[in-house]
Parts: sequence; C-alpha cells; structure tokens
Amino acid sequence: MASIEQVLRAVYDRVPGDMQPALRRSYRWARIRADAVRAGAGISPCDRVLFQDFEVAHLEPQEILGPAPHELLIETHFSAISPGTETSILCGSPGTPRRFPYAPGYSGAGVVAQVGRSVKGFEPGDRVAGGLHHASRDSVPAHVLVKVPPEVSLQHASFIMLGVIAQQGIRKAAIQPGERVAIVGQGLIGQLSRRLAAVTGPSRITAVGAGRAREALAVSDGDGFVVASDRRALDGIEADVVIEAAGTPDSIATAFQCAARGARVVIVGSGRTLDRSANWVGALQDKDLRVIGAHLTALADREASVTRWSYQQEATLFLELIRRGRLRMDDLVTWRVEPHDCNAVYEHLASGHSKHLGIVFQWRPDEAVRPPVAVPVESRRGAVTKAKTLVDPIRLGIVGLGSIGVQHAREAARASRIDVVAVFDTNQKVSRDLGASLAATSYPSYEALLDRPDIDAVLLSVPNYLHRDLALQAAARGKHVLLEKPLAITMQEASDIVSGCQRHGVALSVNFSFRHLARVRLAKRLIDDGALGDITGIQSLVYSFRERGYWHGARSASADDWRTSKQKAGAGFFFMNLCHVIDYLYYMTGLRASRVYCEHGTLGSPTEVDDSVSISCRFDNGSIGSIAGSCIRRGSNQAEDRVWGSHGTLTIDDQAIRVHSTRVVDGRRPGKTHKISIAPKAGWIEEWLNEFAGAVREGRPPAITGRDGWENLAFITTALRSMEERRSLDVPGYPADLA
Amino acid sequence: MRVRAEAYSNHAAPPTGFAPFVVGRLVDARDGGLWSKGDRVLVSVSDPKAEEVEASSSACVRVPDGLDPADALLIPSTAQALRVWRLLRLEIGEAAVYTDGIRLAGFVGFVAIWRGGLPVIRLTTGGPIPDVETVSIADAASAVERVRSLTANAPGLAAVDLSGSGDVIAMLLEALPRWGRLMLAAPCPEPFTTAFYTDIHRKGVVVCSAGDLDSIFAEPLQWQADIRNACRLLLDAKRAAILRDCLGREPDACRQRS
Repeated sequence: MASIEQVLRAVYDRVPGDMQPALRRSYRWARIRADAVRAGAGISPCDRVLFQDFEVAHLEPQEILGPAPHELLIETHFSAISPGTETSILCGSPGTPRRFPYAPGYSGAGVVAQVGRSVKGFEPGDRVAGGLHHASRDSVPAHVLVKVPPEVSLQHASFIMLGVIAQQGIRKAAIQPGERVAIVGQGLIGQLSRRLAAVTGPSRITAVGAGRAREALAVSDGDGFVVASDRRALDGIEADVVIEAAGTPDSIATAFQCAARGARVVIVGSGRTLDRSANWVGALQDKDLRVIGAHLTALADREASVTRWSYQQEATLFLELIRRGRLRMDDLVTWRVEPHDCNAVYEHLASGHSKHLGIVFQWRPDEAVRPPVAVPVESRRGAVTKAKTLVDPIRLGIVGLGSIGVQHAREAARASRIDVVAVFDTNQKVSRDLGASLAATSYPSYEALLDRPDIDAVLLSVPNYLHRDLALQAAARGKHVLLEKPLAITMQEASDIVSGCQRHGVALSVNFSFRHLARVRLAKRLIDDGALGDITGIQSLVYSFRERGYWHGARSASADDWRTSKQKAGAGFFFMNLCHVIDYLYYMTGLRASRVYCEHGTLGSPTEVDDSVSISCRFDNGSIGSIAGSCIRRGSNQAEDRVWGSHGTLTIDDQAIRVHSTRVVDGRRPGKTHKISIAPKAGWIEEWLNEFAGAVREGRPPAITGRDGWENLAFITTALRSMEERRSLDVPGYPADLA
Repeated sequence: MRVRAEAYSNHAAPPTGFAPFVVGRLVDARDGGLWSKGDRVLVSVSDPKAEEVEASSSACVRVPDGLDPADALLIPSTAQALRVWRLLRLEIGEAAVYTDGIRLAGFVGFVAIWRGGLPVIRLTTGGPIPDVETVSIADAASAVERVRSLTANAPGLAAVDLSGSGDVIAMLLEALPRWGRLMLAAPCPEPFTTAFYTDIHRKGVVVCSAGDLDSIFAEPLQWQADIRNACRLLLDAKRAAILRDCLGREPDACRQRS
C-alpha cells in the first residue's frame, strides 16, 4: 500500500510545472505544522541558502522546527563554504546528489538558542561550532557540535569541519619529525593540511599547486612550492608523506610522482571521476607506496581508541590548535559575504576561476570578527608554569583606544612576543572593557600607567598633536615607545621625539607596518634581487572613500573631531594613507626623495585638512616619481604602485605583483610579464609589534626607527609647504646630530 | 676504514648513554663498500681525542655534508628521542608526558612538541621550560592530580620515563588514563609498589621498553629512518639551536645509567 508521501509525490509529478513551486510551498507549510504538533516543538523562521538547480543558488525564507530532544537550535553567526564539495554539487559533478532544492553547507559556528530536553552539557548562549547548514538558524544533533573557546573567533571556528577533514588526513599520515611532506592541491583543504602538517615537525613541506596563485602563501610560511605541471620538479620532491588535497582527476598521479620510495600517500581530496587505468597500480608497486583513504565519514562516531579519533575529539583539537596559535587562520578567510549575495558567490565558484580560499557567510551583522585574545599564562599553586613563547615577551601598555588603538590592542594580544599588561584611554569605560577582555589592567591616567615599573614599552595610538608630549613622557620613564603614524606634526616635534628617546636610551618605532604586507616584502625582495636594475621611475596611486562621519570619529567608541583640525591633525589624507605609501616606497627601493612639488586640496570632506593630493618628486638617484591619491573617490578602494628601472617593471596591487624583467627572476622566463599572486592582508601590525619586541629583547634597533618617521615627515611637510610657496622644494636630509 | 675526527662527544658532562663518539671524514675507505674517501661519518670510538681512528664500515653513521660537525654530535640523542615517540606512536593532539632523567630529556620534550603533542608535560624538579607544561614532582599526589587535569581533554596519552625512579614510574602509572601508553626508558634498580590491577589491567595501559636505545652504533641500519630524520631536523638552524640549548639546560641526571 502506498504511503501518503508516495501519493502526494505522484500528484505533484502530474501537476503542471508552473504550479509545482506553489504546491511545494503549501506542502512544506502544512508538513512543518503537523510535525510541530506531533513533536510538541515550536517553529522558527530562518533564511537558508538553497541550490534551486544546477548553478542556481538563492537565499530563501524558510521555517524550521524547534530542536528535537537530542538537538540544539543554533543561531548561526558564520558558515564556511566548502568550495570543492559545494561546487561539485552545484555543477552536478559525478557522485554528487542531483536532486534540488539542495541545502548546502556543513560547517559553521554560532550561539545556542534552545536546547533539546535530552541534551546534556550545553546551555543557551554557548558558542558552538560544527555541522551547520548555510542558514541563519539550524536545528542539529548535539553530537555534531563542540563548544568554541572564548579566545577563538566564531568566524575562524566556522571552518571546523574543513579543519577536521584536513586533520584526520594528517593523523592518518602519521608524519614523523624530520620527514618530508608534500601537499598536492593548494585550495582551502590544501592550505589547512599544509599548516596542520607543520604542527607535526616535518623537515620540509612542499606545496604543489596547479598554478603559482598560492605560491606566496606557502613561501611566507617558509615552505617550498612546485607547480604540478613541472614534472621534473615533482620528481625532485621525494616526499615521505604526500597529502592529496586537490580532488582533481590527475591529482592522484601527481601525488604518486611526488612520493619517495616507501612513502605514504593520504587521499584527502580525491577526484570524483572513475579511473579506468591500472597505471596507478604499477606506480604504487614501483615505489612501494602505501595509499591511505581519509574521508570525513571514516572517522569513528563516538568512541575513541588510541588510533581512532572521534569527530568530537578532532573538532576540539582543531579549535585548540587555533586557540594556542599553532594554526593560523586569519589569512585563509579571503571573502566574507552577506548571505543574500549567495547567488553571486556560487556563480563565481562555478566559473572555476575563483582565487578565493576561505569564503564565509556572515549571518549576524552585529557579530564583529573577534580576534583571539591572549592565552593567559597558567600559574597555579606554584607547581605549574607555562612559558608563552621561546622568547620572553615584552610587557606592553596601550594608550589611546579609539578605532586604531583597539585594533592595535587586538593585534598586540595576538602577537607572540607581546604581553599586553596595561591599557589606558580617557574614555574609562572603553579602557575598562578592553582591559577586561585582554586580561590587562586598565589605568585611570597615563601617569599611573607609566608608574607601573614592569611595563617595558608603550604603544601610543593617540591624536597626532599628542604624540610629542606623550612619547617624551614615556621615554623619560624608561619605556620604549611605539607610535602610531605620523611620528609628529612638525619637524621640530619629530626631532624632539627622536632625540628624547635617544637621550633616555629607549627604542622608538613608528607604525609603518605596511612594510610587513606580503606584497611590499615580495616587491622589496625582487628589487633587491635586481629584477629592475637601476630604478628610474616610481608611480603610486591610492584611492579610498571616507564617509563624513569618519572625520568626526564615528568609527571610534570615543568620537572626537580632532581629525578635522589642521592644528590637531597636521594633515589629512597625507597622514591617513599617503605616509604609508611614502614609507614603503622608501623601504622597497632604498631611495629618498630629494625634491618635491605638490598640489593638494580639501574638495569633499568636512575638514580643514587635505583630502586630495598629487605630488611630483625627484629621488636621490635621479629617478622621477609621482604619487597621487584621494579619500573622496567613491567606489572601490584602489592602490597600485609601479616601479620601473633599467631592466624591468613591477606593478603592485592588493592581489598581485606583475613583474617584467630582462633578467631571470626566481627562475621565471625573462622578457615576459609574470603575475605573482599575493597572500591576503593579515597580521601586518602583529608582525610590526613582534619585530619591535625582538629588537628590544636583543638590544638592537627596531627595523622601523624614529629616523624612518622623521624622513617620512620631512617629505610630507616639504610637500605641503611647496604648494604654499608655489615652487618645488628640496626635502631636508636626516640631521647628523640625530643620526 | 680510517676516520679523521672533526668533533668529539664531551664526556666530562653527565652521562649520554653512549660510548664516546666522533664526527669526522673518511681518509681511507678501502673496505668500505658504499663508503668513499671524504664521506662524513659519526662513529663510536674508545679514545675520542685521537686525531684518527679505525672504524668498521658497518658501524659508521653517514652524516650530511651540510651539517655542522658540532650539530652532528646531536644526531644520536635526537634519533633516540625520535625513536621513543615513534615507538609510542604519539599523535598530533595527544598528551605527551616525560620526566627528568638522562640528558635525553630535553630532546624528548622538543621532539614531542614537533610531533604535535598537546599538551607536552614534563615531570620535573626544575623550573619552567618554553612551550612545555612543567609539573613539580615534589608532592606525588598533587603531581598526579595535575597531570590528570592537564590531560583530561586529551584523547590519548603517551608517557616516557627517563628517570628510572620507582616513585616517578608509580606516579606515571597512577596518572595514566584509559589506554595510556608508557615507555620505561631508563633502568630502575630499586623496588617499588605497582598497582597492576587498577593502574594497568583495568585501564588497558600498554607498558613497553625503549629497546636498546644505545644501539645506534652497533646496529645503525635499524636506526636508519630515525637517523635520517634527525639529520634533517638538525639541518634546520632553528631546531638545531633549540637542541643545542637543551644540553645546556638539563639538570643533573636523576639517576646514572648503568
């Protein structure tokens, strides 16, 4: 006898196609109410991403049942896209479900809203991560969720299932310290596999990618990189362990080719097409390889043994590795999107040309991306202590907690060589709240903070006009000084700060942390390696849009309009963005401007200072440059630098460096333009802070010094003056008495 | 074969567990089979200060040319530490516990970290160590409680005793969770009380020995993989520096090896 479901299905299949959607909606409406009555559960509205058909994704309002006895109702904050699996389903790849609508997504993080009556160990308000759909709310069994430690952001935690996929592959590989590892495939699973492999102490990791798009990510982690099409290079890898994380038809053959004799090849990706050759058998026997399948579903359900970890245990470890800073996630999130843009996201993925790594849907606009805070050092009963890092961190006090100050504080909390012990802001509530979140003491005054004897350094993120006095006060108390850019407003103030720090024997650094951006470092290396020969020209463009509220401190918890005042800010766009450009051009090229002429104006902002700038300059080697920018240009931000010389040209933007050289650069063919993709921006302030801490501990000058700040300001003040005097002016050199 | 020594092990320091050995280059490889003149080797000797020594080809351990001779002297201890955790099958995310003891202790700790041990715990009479949780063994009961609390969330635990102290071994057995693995790597001449039923039988604990950790020079072929990986680790300047530091940081051995 046919069930009611089968009868309804038969009716549904017979109605005209244009009536089916309405029928479907009516059926769902009735069905969920019937289920709710039967289960005694409530009904919650939610938005859910659905694949409506091949390559068609849409955000749909839906209703879901409240949690069953073994379930939790979760308010999703972030859900991570699994690019391989979801694109396969969307495009109808072999072996994927082919019935629509299909609800994608299996990895997310959020907050518990309701707890099923049989569930133990969870409470409403708990932060959790696990197998969630791309939906604003989801009812899921408790055993697919784990609690997220407070130090881990929900955004990072949303990658939990992808992390577990990579992690169980690493576990099955049983990497021994000193072994050589190759990771085939540099997508999200490949990147996670590479970073997790590094936790197990291999002597060498080689990333194998389809192209060079992800080379910079591997290189920045100190790993090697080989393009899969370079068969000779693959033979040279000789890896003891190969993790196949590409999931493409030819990735198994590539993995075999990377393997040394006797190696283990762990199949984490695996293409979905059938292999009808026996070639791989011969390759396996020739090299005496061991092939190990490692799919998520091969994990034990509940019970763990010495060698079989459960999903819960793998998931907990994944979050713990993030918490302890042993697994970096920041630069893996390359696209955070609103769910209503899901159609565009999946169209982009389906095109097969996506350059994105980690893509997350953000379901709650109020959930800020919370970076991890410092892990407190344990010290209980005097019997147990834990050192934070190999190098004794410096103890830092953070002063000024506007929008930039808070960003600095969070970066500092993440920095491995920094221990944030004190904070101060004139807005005491902000100070207390941030202090509590960082386990740092909030002080009622700057002087009280300076009185604390164990503070090594202060980080001043205060309005420009306060830099001189606060820096000198700190120096006089023997505290090293980290200053938000610019160094000062006037050259006299700048000289006072530099000489004051010298007199008191404290280190001084200015936040020109853009030097730590991957694109700047790579460009510097290429220039240092001679890719351009003698530099003859420099051109930089930087455009952004600052809303009117920006000038009045709308992005800060302590709104203040000092930025609008020429007296308090000194300059506008010059100090906001252009000073970074000037600094990294100086840094990359080693050149200094000798003469400058500038036109600037305030053309669209409620401020006394500049919002649009155009500069012509000559550098000390005779080369000619121009720098232009504005913060009133609507549309997307744009930054591009071009540096050229006797032997080549570099074009640098946020995504890539294009290098054209008559010389062989990093093994690339001369006479052609090569595009080198750049790792997304992440952690540059943290690196600045860590470098400074290392300098303090090692008793050497920091990489970015007061002199850099002074020379930067000399350029800017001369440029500003040149317009007033309507003539080009020589840029003063660094005075001998400050050197 | 004849070897011209470049560096020799320092036996004025506490015991290493090895006979003296030198790093040098072959100046004569006539009966050497796969060996050639100029190859760099590590070899056990009776007089480490001799300029040239005789060595059998089967007792030589090949040393990569790029490795600093002083760092090459760390190969045996590094290989031993690798072997300890390989035999215990320590996995990423499992707790690793080790003790004070022979000078190997520091090596054992850092190799556990490099294998992904989480947390890595040292039972010690000494002070804090970077990246390692240290638990004082001054009071056995609180040490056991502390190890248990630190490892409560770890799905597995592997431990190695390097002390040869009955009290420490008893402490480890008591602290081991279900299915814990314990390696006894140092001789234990003194009697001590073992609760076989509660600490081993009921918990399904595996206890094993380290085998002959000193057989590197006697059976180098059996140590091939560990030696190869040790050389690769030592070719990494940062790791080599950490291991060099280990030697300087170790407290005196709890017990002399026989």
